[in-house]
Order: sequence, then structure tokens, then C-alpha cells
Amino acid sequence: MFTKTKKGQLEIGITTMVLAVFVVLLLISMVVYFRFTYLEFEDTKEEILDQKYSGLLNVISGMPEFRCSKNGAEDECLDASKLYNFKQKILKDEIEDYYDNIFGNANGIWIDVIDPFSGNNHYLNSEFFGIYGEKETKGLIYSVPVSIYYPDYKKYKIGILKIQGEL
Amino acid sequence: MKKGQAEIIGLVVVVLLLVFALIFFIKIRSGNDDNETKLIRANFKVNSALNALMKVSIGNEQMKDLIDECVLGFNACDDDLKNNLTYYFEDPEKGLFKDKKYQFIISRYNDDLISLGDGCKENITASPFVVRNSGKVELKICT
Repeated sequence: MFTKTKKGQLEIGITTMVLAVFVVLLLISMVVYFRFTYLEFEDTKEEILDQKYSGLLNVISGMPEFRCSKNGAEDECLDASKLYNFKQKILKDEIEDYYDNIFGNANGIWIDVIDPFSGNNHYLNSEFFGIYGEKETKGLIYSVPVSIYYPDYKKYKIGILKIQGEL
Repeated sequence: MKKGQAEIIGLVVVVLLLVFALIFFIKIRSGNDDNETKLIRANFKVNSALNALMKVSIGNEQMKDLIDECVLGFNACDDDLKNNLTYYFEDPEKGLFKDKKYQFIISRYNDDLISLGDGCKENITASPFVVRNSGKVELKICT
């Protein structure tokens, strides 16, 4: 009777220990699994946004509304004279809906001009050209360097076309 | 060996197997997977950067004209050209690669005339801009 009780206590002790170890392992596994699932979700979100907005960067740099041409031949650059009044023009002509469809849910699209002499509002010296939405609102920024041509002055500058958006 | 000892050894083996499985899972999941679409996008960016840089106006000339003169030996490579390149690449406020690693090389018959940036092992290279058959302009962005 006494021996049976001791053996039973030992069995209960072993079972409890096994359960405790498995519970601890299960908890650790769950934490690791959910952490990785969350990180994967964030990566997927970033990847989708990156694909979406990188495609849009490509589309914008090829749009006839912005693209520059010389003697009818298209060139690998954006025309500053077209960029300068674009935002005001689409508001004036009430064609925002058309561009809402093209630019999707981007919060802002603009071009920062890299130029040591920029600084005022004249179109040659403008530090940035707003295309859509507001500059620097919220969301991640996707960018690509572009060449900007000023036809009135026959000059080229470097700009960074930027899109800010989120899912 | 007593029954209790055998059970503890069994438990230790099971625990070790589970720990190894967990480490294996973590190692596989945290591995870097540079996919092809990311490389295509990086390629688009580096080619756009080199194209924009070659076109930019410096005074009455374009960057490609200054590089042309540098390669042909008509103009010193170190003065205006190098200063402008350094500004466009590394200006702390507006520079194209102010927070990225890159390498920009102007060479003539494989001799480097101008070399900017540190470069790295893994990079994306823009299609080289060839100057009068003897010169080459290369831009690499680290991935």
C-alpha cells in the first residue's frame, strides 16, 4: 500500500514535469511563430507597396503630361514647364478624378530638385514641383532620380521623383 | 537504469529535438531573400540616376561634355567636374546617395580618372556610359 503510494507520487511528479516542459515549449513556440508571422506580414506589406509605387514611378516618368520632347522626339527627361503648373491646371480644369484613378491612393507625389542655386519660386529656381496631393504627409517614400529639362533656358537639372503612400 | 531515469533521458531527448527544430525554423525564416523584382527596381533606379547625371547642366555645358573633356585630356578631371559630382552624390541635404553606399568611376583604358564612393561586394551596376570608345562611366549602388 505504502510502496504503491510512493510509485504513484513519482508518476504524478514525472507527468507534471513533462507537462510543465511542454507548456513552456509551446509558449515559446507560439511567441516565436506569431513574431515571425507579424514580421512576414510587415515584409509582405512593404513588398506590395514597393511594387505598387515603383510601378507608379515608372508610369509617371513616362506620362506625356510630364515627359519632355525635342523636335517631336521623346527624350529621357521630364519637362519643367509642364511640371510647374500641373497641379493648378488639373484643379482649374476639374480633372482631378482622372488623376485620382491613375495615382490611386498615394498621399503625395512631388519632385525635389537637386540644384546648388535653387531657392525661390521662379520656375527655373523652384526647389520642388508638386504633382499630386501634399508633400511629406504620412507613409513611406518611394523615389527615383529623374532628369528635368527647362526648355526656356535649355538647361537640365537632376530631380528626385517621390511618392509617399501607404496601404 | 531505473525507470524514472530512463523517462527523464527520454524527455531530455524530446526537448532537445524540439529546440533544434525551433532553431532550424528561425534560421530558415530569417534568411535574406533578395527576389528578382527588387533587383529589377534597383536596376531602374541606378540607370535613371546615371542618365540624369550625364544630362545635368553645368554652366553652358552638360556633365557628359565635362566627362568627355576629362577623358580626352582637354580639361582637368579634378576641378569643376569632381566638385560637381561630389555635390550631386554626397551633398548632406540633397545628394543622390547621401545615405547609401555607391561607387562612381570614370576610366580611360581601364585607368581610373575619377573614383568616388567606397563600393561593396554586392551591387547593382547601371549600363556603362561609353565616352569616345576609350572612356567609360560606371555607377554601382550597393544592395
